[in-house]
Amino acid sequence: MSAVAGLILLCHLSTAAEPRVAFSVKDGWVELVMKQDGKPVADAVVLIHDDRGQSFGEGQTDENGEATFPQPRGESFVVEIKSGSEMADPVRLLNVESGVEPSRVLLSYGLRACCRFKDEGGEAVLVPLTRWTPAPTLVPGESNRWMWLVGGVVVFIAVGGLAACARRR
Amino acid sequence: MDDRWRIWAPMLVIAAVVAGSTALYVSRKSASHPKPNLAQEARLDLTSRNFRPLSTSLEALLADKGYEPVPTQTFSLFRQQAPDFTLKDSSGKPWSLHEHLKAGPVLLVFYYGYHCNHCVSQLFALNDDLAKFSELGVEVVAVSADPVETTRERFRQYGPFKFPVLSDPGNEVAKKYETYLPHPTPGKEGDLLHGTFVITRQGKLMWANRGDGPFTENRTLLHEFAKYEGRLR
Repeated sequence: MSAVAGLILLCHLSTAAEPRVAFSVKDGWVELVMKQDGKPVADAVVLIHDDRGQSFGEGQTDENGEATFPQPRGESFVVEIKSGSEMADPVRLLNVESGVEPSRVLLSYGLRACCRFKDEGGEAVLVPLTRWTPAPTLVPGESNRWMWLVGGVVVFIAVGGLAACARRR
Repeated sequence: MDDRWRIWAPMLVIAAVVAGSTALYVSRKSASHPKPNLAQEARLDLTSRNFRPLSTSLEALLADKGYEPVPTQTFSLFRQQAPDFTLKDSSGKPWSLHEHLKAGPVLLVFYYGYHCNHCVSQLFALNDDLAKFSELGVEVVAVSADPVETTRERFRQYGPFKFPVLSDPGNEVAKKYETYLPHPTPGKEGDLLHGTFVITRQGKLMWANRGDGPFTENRTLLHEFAKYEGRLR
């Protein structure tokens, strides 16, 4: 149950809006506009690599979330964007006649998988990754209150028995 | 008999009785716990994601200039030929991507399987809006590692979907679409992702979304297909 709750929590966290980046090309220059929840993302670090993986340029977005750089030649190039402490997955852009493709990108981060997949006797089983499993609760709840009561009675009987034994001696 | 045993023997008997009755209570309680209704839970998951079936006509949806579709994520197969595959559907019949692309574009969805609410909720969302995809000539198809028998059993329990649901044993096709990431250590289980892919009638992958959660923005998918089908004004 706690694993399911962890999964639900994680899935809700993952639906928080990721930044969107639009690319356009004008006169051999690529303009990048980065927004999150409709607002410009300023001071994001932008790294550009050519199709051989060589560093091509580096800069930052301005207060409008914009950054401009010359369009690298070749079939494609790669843009890496770091906003705050998070580095997004590298975006590979293809140079096409009309500019670059894809012209709009939803940034992703690590694309961490949700679950491990396990097959137990023909039945598929999803095992949530460890980091999403909340610590087990030790507070008596609705379901385990009865167990605590039984445990208390057992301890009471045991202590009583020991006391009686000691008195007889 | 030793005096000590006169006290300890009843104590041990009581402890054994208490332990036995506790074990019996717990086992009965877990046995009588009702199985979850997965279809109902999937519906609740969609509600929590603010999913609503599209009530406006397709024509009106596509004519809305103010709508900003969710952009594609970056992925290695962008603008490339979609990896072909043939898998069995819920009735055990083979379903081939290349065969179906002859009839039109395909929306390919990788789901976790019919095990939990968010695992399968996207299929319910697509089922609700299926008529609009059909209107665009798009075939929707869903893939998971669930064996054919499991899918059939779930359909019997909760009712079938109106589109093919395929079985991908071992996640072999999911690997090709990078929604199953094999573990670096051989023999260990890999990691799963939800995946949604727009495949044009030319067989090109033009839009993708992968991640921890299901993609339920059907309007974006319709918009993307309309773009490649020349239906956007």
